[in-house]
Amino acid sequence: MTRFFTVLPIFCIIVAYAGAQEVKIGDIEDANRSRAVHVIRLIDHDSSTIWLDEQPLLPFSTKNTCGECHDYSRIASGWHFNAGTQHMPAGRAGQPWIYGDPFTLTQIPMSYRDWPGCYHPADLGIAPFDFVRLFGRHAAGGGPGEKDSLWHRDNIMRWRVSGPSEVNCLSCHDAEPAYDQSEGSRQMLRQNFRWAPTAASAIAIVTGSAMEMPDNYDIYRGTAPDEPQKQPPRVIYDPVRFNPQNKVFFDITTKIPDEKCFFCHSAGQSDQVNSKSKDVHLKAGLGCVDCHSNGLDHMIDRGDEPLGNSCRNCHLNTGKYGAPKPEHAGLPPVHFIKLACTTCHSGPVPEQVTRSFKTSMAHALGIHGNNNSSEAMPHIEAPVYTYDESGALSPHYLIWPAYWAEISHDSLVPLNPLDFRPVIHSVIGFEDSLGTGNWPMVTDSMIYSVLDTLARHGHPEREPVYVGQGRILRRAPGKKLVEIESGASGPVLWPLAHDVRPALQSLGSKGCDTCHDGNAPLFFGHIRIDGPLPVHNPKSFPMSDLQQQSSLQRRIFAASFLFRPWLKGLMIGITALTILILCAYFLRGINAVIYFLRDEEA
Amino acid sequence: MIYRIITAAGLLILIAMQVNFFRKYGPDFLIYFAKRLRIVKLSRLFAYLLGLVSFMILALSAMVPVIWGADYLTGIMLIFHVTLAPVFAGMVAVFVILTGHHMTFSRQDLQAIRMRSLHLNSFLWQKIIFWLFSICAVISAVSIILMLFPLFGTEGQQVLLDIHRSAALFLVILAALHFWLFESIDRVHDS
Repeated sequence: MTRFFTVLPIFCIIVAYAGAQEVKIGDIEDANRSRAVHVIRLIDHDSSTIWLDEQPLLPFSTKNTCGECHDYSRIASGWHFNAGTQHMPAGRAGQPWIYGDPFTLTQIPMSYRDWPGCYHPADLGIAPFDFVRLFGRHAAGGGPGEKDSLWHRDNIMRWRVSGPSEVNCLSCHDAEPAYDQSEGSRQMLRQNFRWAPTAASAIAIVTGSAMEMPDNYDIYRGTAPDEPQKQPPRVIYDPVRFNPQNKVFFDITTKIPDEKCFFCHSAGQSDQVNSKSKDVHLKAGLGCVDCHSNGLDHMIDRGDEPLGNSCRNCHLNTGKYGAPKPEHAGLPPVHFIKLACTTCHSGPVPEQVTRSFKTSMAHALGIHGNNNSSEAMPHIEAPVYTYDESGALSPHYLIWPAYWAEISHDSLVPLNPLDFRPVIHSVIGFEDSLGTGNWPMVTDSMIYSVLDTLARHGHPEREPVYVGQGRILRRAPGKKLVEIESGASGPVLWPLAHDVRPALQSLGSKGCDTCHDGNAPLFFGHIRIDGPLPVHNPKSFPMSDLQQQSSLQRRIFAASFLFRPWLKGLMIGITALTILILCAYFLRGINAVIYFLRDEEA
Repeated sequence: MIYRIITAAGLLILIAMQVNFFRKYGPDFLIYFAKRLRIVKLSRLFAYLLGLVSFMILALSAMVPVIWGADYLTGIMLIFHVTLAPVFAGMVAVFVILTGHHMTFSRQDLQAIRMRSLHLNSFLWQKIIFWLFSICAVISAVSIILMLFPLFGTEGQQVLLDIHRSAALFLVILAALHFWLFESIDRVHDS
C-alpha cells in the first residue's frame, strides 16, 4: 500500500508531463507539402458528436471539432484571440475598438491591451458580454468571449443563453466560397455567439436570436418558456454535406485568401467607396499571410524587427519572396533614421487637410444593413504624420475621443456609455431621421443640461464633464460651459501601414519638394479637430504641432530648399575651379620633379 | 564610435590650440600666423582668415551633434553647415589661386625630401599641409556635391557621406598640425 502511494504521484507527474508535451496529429509537420483534406465529424460544445437525427440540433464547437487534431489552447494564445487573457502581451499599438454613438455624443477607443490613450473596457464599466456583443462582429473569437474567468456575474445568465464565443478557426481557414463572414457577424449581433461559426459555414443555416431569449432559456429544450412566439436560435444542417460516416468536408487551407483578412482589416476614405486593394505587394502576387505569417501559436507576424517580416528585413536583408532591393538614388541616409518606410510608401497620399476614413472594425463594414453613410461615426482622420514608438516619423490614423466623464481626485473617469445612454439621449433628443450617423447639432445649453442631469444621477462628490475635440468642458455659473486645462483629452493614434504604394507613387519620387516645401502636407498639413461641440476655433491644427517641432524651424528648413539649386551650382563652380587649379599645379609639380630627378642623375 | 572618439579628440585638440594661441599671442594670433605664412597682401589675408573661421564653424556645427550622439546632421545645424560650406569652399579656391605659387615645392625642398632632412621648423611642412588641405577640401566638397544628385543609391550615398566625414576629419587633423608646427617653431626659437 505504501509503495502504491509512493508510485502514484510519480505516475501522475509522468502522465501530466506527457499530456503537456502531446503534439496533436494535426500539428505534426512531416515535410509533405500537399494539402490535408479535412473530412471530420462535428462535435458540439458538450463534446458529443452531432448526429442529424438528434433534436434539438446543436451548433458545432470549433474548440472541440478542430481541437480534436489541433492544440486549441496554443492557437487561442495568438494575437487575434488573446486580448484580455492573463499573459497577453500589449504589443505595438494597433487599431483599438471604438464605440461610436451619435445619440450620446460618444466615440471612445478601448482595448484590453495597454495601448496609449485607450481605455480598458472594465474602466468604462463595459463587461466582457457587452464588449463581445458590441465588437464580436469583427473579432475572431476567444479572449473575453471565451474566458469564463473574465465573465461578470451580472451577465452569467446571458452567457449561458448565448454561449461562449470560441476562436472561429473557419473564419480564416475555410476557403469555401460559400463561407459567409458577414453572416457570422450578424449572428454575433443577435448574441448567437455559440451559433456564429456554424451559421457562417456553408453546411448549415441558423435562425432565431439569443438576444430575444429570456435569461432562463434552455438551449436543450429549444423553446423559450412563456414566450413561444419568440424564435430561439436553431440550427438546420444541410444533410447533403454529411457523408455516410456522419462526417463533413471542410475546404481548409493554411494559405488564407486575402479576402478573409479584408473582412476585418479593410480601410478606405469615407467619401470614396472603393473596395479594391491597391497594395503593391498584392498586385505583385503576394498574399497578406505571406508577410503576416504565423506558427501554431498564431502570433501573427506584425512586421516587428529584428525578426519579423518587416520592410527592412525583406527588402534590405533577406530578399524574401524576391523582394527587390530599393535603390533610393539621391536620398540622404538620414531619411532612413528619421522616417519609417511607411511614411513615403504607405497609405493615402497626404493632402493639405486630413481626410475621414472608415475601417471594418470601427464601422462594421461588410455587414448587410450597416449604415454606409460617409459621415457615419466614429470619425477617423488620416494620414496623420507623427513619431511612432521607435522615434521615426510615420503615418497614423487619429481619433478625437468624445465621452461623458466624471472628475474624481483630479483624474478623469469615463462614464459607461451604455448605462447612461437613455439619460443622455432623452436630453439631446437626437433621432437621426436622415440616417447619416453623424454628430447631431448640439448647443452649449444641451451639453449643460446633460451635465446637469448627470450631476443629479451621479456621485455627489464627482463633477460630470464632457470630453470632446481635445477639450474638457464643465458647468459654470450662469449656465455656461468652461474649459478645464488638461492634457488628458488629446487624440488617440495608431499606425497606418497599408496600402503600400509602388516606388513611383511614393513621397519624394517627384523630388525633394514633396516634403521639403513650405506647404508640404507632411509637416504643414492640418489635422481636423472633429467633434459635436458647436463652437471650436480653430477647427484644425498643424501637423508640426503634433510632431512637437517648431513650425518656424520647419519653415526655415523648407525655405532653404529654394536656394538648393543655387547652392548646387555655386558649389560645383567653386569646386571645379579649385580642381582645375590643383590639376595645373599637379602637372607643374610633376614636370618639376622630372627635371629635378634628371638633373640629379646628371 | 571610433569615428566619434577621433572626431572629438581632433576637435578638442584644435580648440585647445586656438585657446592656447589666444592666451599666448592675443586676439590677432591668426594674423600673426598669416604673416608667418608670408601672407602679407590684404586679399590673401582675408581669404586665410575667413577660410579658417568658416572652417572652424563648419567643423563645430558638423561634429558637435555627431559627438553628442546624433547619427546624422539635421535641422538648423544642417542649414547652418550648408550655408557656410560655399564660403569655406570659395575661400579655399581663392587662397589656392592667390597663394599656390608661394607654396610650390622649390628645388631645395625636393632636395630636402630626397635627403630626408625635414626639420620641424622647415617651411616645407607648411607647404605639404597646404596642398594636402586643399586636396582634402576638394574631396570633401565633391563627395557632398555628388550626394545632391540622384546618382548613387543608399549604399553609395553612405559611402559618399563616409568619404565626406573622413575628409573633414583629415582637414581638422591638418589644421591642428598647421598650428602645432607654428608653436613648435616658436618653441625652438624661444629655447
